[in-house]
Amino acid sequence: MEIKIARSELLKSVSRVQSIIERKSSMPVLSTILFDASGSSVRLSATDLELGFQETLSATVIQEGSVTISGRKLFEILKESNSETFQIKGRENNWVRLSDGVARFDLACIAPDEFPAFIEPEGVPMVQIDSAVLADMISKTIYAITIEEAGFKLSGVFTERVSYNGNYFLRMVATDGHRLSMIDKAVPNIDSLDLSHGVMIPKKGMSELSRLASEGGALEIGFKQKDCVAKKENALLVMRLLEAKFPDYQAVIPKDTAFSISLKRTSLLEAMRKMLILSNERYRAVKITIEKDVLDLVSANPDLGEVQEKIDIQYSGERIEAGFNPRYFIDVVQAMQSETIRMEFTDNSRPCVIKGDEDEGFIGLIMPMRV
Amino acid sequence: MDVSGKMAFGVMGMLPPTSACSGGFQRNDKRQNQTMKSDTKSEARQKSIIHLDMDAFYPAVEVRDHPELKGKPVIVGGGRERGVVSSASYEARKFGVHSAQPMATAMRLCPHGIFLPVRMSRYQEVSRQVFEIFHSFTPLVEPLSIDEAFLDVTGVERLSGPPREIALKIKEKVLDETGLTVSAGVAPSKFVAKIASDMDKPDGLTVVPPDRVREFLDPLPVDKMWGVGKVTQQVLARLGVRTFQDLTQIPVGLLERTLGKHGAAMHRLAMGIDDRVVEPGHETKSIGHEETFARDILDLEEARKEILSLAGRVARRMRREDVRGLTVSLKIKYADFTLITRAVTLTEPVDDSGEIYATACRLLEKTEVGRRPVRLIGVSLSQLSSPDKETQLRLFDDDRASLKRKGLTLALDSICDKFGEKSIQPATLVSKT
Repeated sequence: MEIKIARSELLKSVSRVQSIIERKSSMPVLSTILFDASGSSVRLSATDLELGFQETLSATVIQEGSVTISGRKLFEILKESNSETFQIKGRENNWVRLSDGVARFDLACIAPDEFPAFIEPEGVPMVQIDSAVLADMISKTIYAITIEEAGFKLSGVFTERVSYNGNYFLRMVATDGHRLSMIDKAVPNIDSLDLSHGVMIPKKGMSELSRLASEGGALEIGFKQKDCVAKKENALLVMRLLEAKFPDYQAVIPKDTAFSISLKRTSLLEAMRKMLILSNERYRAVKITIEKDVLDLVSANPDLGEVQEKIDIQYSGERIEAGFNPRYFIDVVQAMQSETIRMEFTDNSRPCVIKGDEDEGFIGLIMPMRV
Repeated sequence: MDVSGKMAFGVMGMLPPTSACSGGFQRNDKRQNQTMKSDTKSEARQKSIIHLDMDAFYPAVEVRDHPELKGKPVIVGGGRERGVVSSASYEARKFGVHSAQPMATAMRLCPHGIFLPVRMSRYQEVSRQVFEIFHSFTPLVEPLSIDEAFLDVTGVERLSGPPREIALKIKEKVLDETGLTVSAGVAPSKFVAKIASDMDKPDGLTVVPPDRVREFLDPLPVDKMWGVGKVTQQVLARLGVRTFQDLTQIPVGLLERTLGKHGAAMHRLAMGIDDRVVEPGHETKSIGHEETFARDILDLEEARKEILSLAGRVARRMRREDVRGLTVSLKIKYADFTLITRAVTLTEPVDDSGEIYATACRLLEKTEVGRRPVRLIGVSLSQLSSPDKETQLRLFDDDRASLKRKGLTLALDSICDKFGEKSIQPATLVSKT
């Protein structure tokens, strides 16, 4: 294989897949990028076996063929180069020569036929989705996934199709068992996807999908048995779905709540950030008291001290007192956009519900802490 | 070890008034007393640490409870076929029996030995008695294990006399009240005190005055230092290091390059520099149980059964001590003695056997159990904390169901406490007879 390609284009694509390729894998080939040159383009593939990404870039193909190159090294080489064009040439015994007209790298590479076969699911029904909508949905749910592997069952975003009010919606739900974030968005033609039972898209796949979506442009998604497929004009992302049961989330979403207050989103965000300053592993609860036009926040840590903040609100209901992990509020409120948000409570053993008018279709639940 | 080197410096070896002392230390007695006098003054600003180590504790308790065993080689340990020696009496040690040795080896070395099972609760009882005596001298008692502790007696001279006197009083009191002997090391630091207590076992007392620390350490072989095993010893031997003195003469940089951070620390210790303080009431860092099997475990299902039983025991102990753990560790020793551990940190602390079992089983998938014969399995929890006043409520936990389970667990615990470990257990653990 031999190609000439615009360095900046290649760098963009290679840096894009850095998060996919494996750092320390028992299969060295998973740390490489596969190049397939044919016609007037080259296709880059990267995979960690759980998810795969392909992107096609236009290039001057001098000789068709394939090579693999260490993704990490190629990235470093491209970053150090100042040249406009970059040449890649496969040589004998899997040696690959990279040159930018100034420097020449000869790299010992892995035979391209060792690269895992990249199976593009065929015949998958695809639906076009606005990439801004998709990016928004992911950013409003992904933080609620359990970070640690401990919550095995919840390490993905549950995605399903729902219908109400005569419309079909794409729904994403994520939870770590303590808080839950859910968002519904109307997606035209979503009814043609087989999503009625819901699937679990793993966190790594979700963040790749989010990155693909945030780059803008038209995007198509589809599902087939064990995979979720996302396509853009030149790019293809295939994600292995998690085989896990998602809890009965609908049962925990309160049908109605007893009390509600409205306040500026940034006020709550800033106050909660202050509450976090004195918290640690052992003492992290913020005590919220709502009574007569005041939201009172107090966080106390016997080792360090105490912090208090009062936020003016409009409220005339009965006094509410509950403890919460401020981190959860920060996560939710940070991902929202509304100027004003609404917090709803029932009692101190049921979740606080957070909504915002400009965050259409979104609902956040946070379970209290017993303090 | 190099006995003649030890003797030449004659820094230690006090004859405790309570018993006849072994070996040639009596010969050094006079010189020793002189040394003591010379340094009582300089002790004012120095710390005085006593390391106390019960002599062959488990067998000693057994002999005390069964006087007819006196003078016999007593070996306390696990099951006959596959267990290991927990502790051996000095009589048994003469045959080459030592702790951590496979029981089978011990039986070969000492066929006429008295082999006894571990009666942990009895040892714990006696240990409590002994620690009470320690505490009557100073509140600064740092337990290292069931039979070993550091005491910081700095500044209690006016009350109880110089450190050496205190050590003698403790030894006397322990013998009086429990009938057991304890070896003591007195030194200005933990490191030196611990080495000193080991110099003259059993029933020893070794005092290393502050101005003679280097003199005491210099001739000692490096393997006396904690953490210096065979590998490090080999590395050091290549550098020509055999004794502590040799170690002090190697540039720190070189040690750091060859042994990493540990190297620099070793250098400091060899120089007698150790600022670690005695930390009283050292909290339990982890709670665990392990089991060495009479025959290797070959399949996963069997391993899971063992884990179920271990998880139950660990959970019960945690509840008894009112702690919960955040990190679950699974320890596996394969038949070829390769030891691995796998651990996971949960999002919230647990004390429930079901959760511990489920987590440990997930860890089991990261091992080769089922494909490789297994000799030992251990389950432990660390990052312990008392149940928080703060409890994060769960979205999907039906509170009533969990309360029910809590009640059930408590009921099961009390049955086990009353009627013994095996009185009630999961059906899979009931062996067919």
